[in-house]
Amino acid sequence: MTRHEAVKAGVQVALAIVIVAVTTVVGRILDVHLTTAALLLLLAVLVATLLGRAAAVAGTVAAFLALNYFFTTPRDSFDVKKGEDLVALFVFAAASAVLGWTISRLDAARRTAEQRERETQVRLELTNRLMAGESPETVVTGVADALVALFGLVRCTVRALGVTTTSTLPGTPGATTVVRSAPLEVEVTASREHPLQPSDRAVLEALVTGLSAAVDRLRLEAEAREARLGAQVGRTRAGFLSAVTHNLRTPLASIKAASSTLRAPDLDLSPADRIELLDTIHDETERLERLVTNILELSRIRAGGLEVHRQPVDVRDLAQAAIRRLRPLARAHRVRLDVTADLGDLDVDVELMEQVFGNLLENALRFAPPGSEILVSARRSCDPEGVTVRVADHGPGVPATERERIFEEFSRVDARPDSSGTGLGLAIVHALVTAHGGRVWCEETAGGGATFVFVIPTHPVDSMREESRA
Amino acid sequence: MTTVLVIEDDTSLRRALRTSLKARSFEVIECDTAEAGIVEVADDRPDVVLLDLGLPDLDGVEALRRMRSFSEVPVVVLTARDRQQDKIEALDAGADDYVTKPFDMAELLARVRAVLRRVPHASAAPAVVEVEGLEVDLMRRQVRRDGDSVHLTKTELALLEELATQPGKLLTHEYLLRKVWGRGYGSESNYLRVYIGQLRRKLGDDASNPRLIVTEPGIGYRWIGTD
Repeated sequence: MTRHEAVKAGVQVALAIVIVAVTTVVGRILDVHLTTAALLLLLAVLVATLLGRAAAVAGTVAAFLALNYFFTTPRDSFDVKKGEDLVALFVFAAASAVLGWTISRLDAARRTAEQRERETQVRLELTNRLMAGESPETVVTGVADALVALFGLVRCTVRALGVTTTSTLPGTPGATTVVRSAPLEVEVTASREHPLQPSDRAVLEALVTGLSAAVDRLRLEAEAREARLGAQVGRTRAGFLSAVTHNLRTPLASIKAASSTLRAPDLDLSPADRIELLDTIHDETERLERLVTNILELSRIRAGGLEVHRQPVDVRDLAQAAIRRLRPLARAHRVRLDVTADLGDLDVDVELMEQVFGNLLENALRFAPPGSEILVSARRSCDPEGVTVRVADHGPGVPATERERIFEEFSRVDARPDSSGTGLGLAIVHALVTAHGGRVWCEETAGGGATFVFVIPTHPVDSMREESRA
Repeated sequence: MTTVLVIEDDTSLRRALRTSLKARSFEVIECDTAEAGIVEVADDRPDVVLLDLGLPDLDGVEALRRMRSFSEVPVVVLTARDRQQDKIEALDAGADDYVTKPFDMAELLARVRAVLRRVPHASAAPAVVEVEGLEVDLMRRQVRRDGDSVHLTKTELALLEELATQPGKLLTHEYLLRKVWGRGYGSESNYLRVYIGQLRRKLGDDASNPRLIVTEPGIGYRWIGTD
């Protein structure tokens, strides 16, 4: 028993004796009969019992002695002459004992119920935090607050997963207990007024064990989530890198094969062979140059370094500029432009949009057979409000299943050899259109072939910079 | 004239190979898909095949397996992949050698010549291999170095036989382990390292400047003794 508890008991005993004494004095002044005195003293015991266990015992004993000394005949003596009085004394003793016992039991039950209720609340609160998918660190922080409130602690320190949290309440610090259950370590300091009972300790240990399991599970889940995310990013990056490597090595292989033959000292090459090899080197150097430019461009867009400088421009001018630039590639193709008169100007970054037109046209020219028509058309569209541009060719087309994948970098849908492409043109188109807040997709041309459609909204959403980064 | 079948989907590389090989007096047949290549191997019976592993229609390793099901034609694999595992898979599927893109024509031609020299069947291999004072009599299982008899264990002799009867061919760890130690072996490349070391010592070969056995790190070993 702590000093504090002893003092408390002492006060209770004193109070109980005072209550019994006052009752006795009142009884003697009124000069009541033994039966009335017994009832009065029973009331005093009842009041004392409500104070606590020590007061109940002290009150019962004091009342018994008072009844015996002051009220049984002969008065002012512990002697009992009448058998009836003896019975009254024993009935009184039994009634007091039963009363005290019942009340103290009810009180204990009330305290336990209160404790249970608080415990349930703490568990509920912690479970809610766990269910809410909050980080293990947040839960650990919550544990300290909850335990302090539940047990009326002065201080509670929780250590777990590299996080240390302390929660305090005002009070005189008393005994300190440490409860460990990996990964949780809980150090509690009870107040001197409300020390931890053995039952509290058991509850605390059970709580800490349950919590540590929950925190551990949360930590594992968080780790698994991070690992998944990391692997995904790694895969994409590795995939891009391996595709870049492959696409850089192929033209390099041609250049190295051709140049090593040209400089072989023991070989007398014919002029025709010499020209053939030099042409290969030249063409493949150009292909490498395009590839490197495209990779840099795409990396720049991806890194978020793309700035869209909007200015009004006529769609016809954009298309014409792209056609002019691609004339060497447009062997016998007929490129037709169909733009409605009411279209007006497009508010876009001229340089970037020219590249969109250029890449789509280049794509069409590369795949459509010579002599076929390539139609570039532009219309005003309503949903979303903006301009829809279509580049339609009569080439082999794109299978329906591949129409989304075709905008990924280095995805080559066509199995036919196509040495001159870089595999990045459409990925760049996708990134540039997205940067303008627009959308691009692929359809089938009526009568066969591929049609690339993109919509540039008149009022782009502000999030376009974010989208271009995605 | 020696006929080379080039199976490669990249037009430019095919053009460079065609011109370079024709200048070296090879006859060149070209294919841009694996399917066409397999048909070509069956129909035109080329002397050597240059096979790109990254073909659009069929995995190169699968193409090799199909070719091997009916033909013993020497195959040199061209690969832009520098992953060790791809090379090993191709070699295990029956490729004779590989070059990694980009390659020097001199290197490719050296590989082509080496695989062309290779005798397709072990049974037809010369019974006696002689190189720089070393005499390996495979029939009588005797090895002489500068006239003195060299004692080889059974395992060493089996290993030497595999290597010496397939000169120039790059033999993978797995192939050698299965052939010499038997089925159920394949990943114990440390055994090989030990035995190749012993063999080199007994035959008087120097790992840092090999005249007989070349190590392809992480892949396998190649006998160059007959060059």
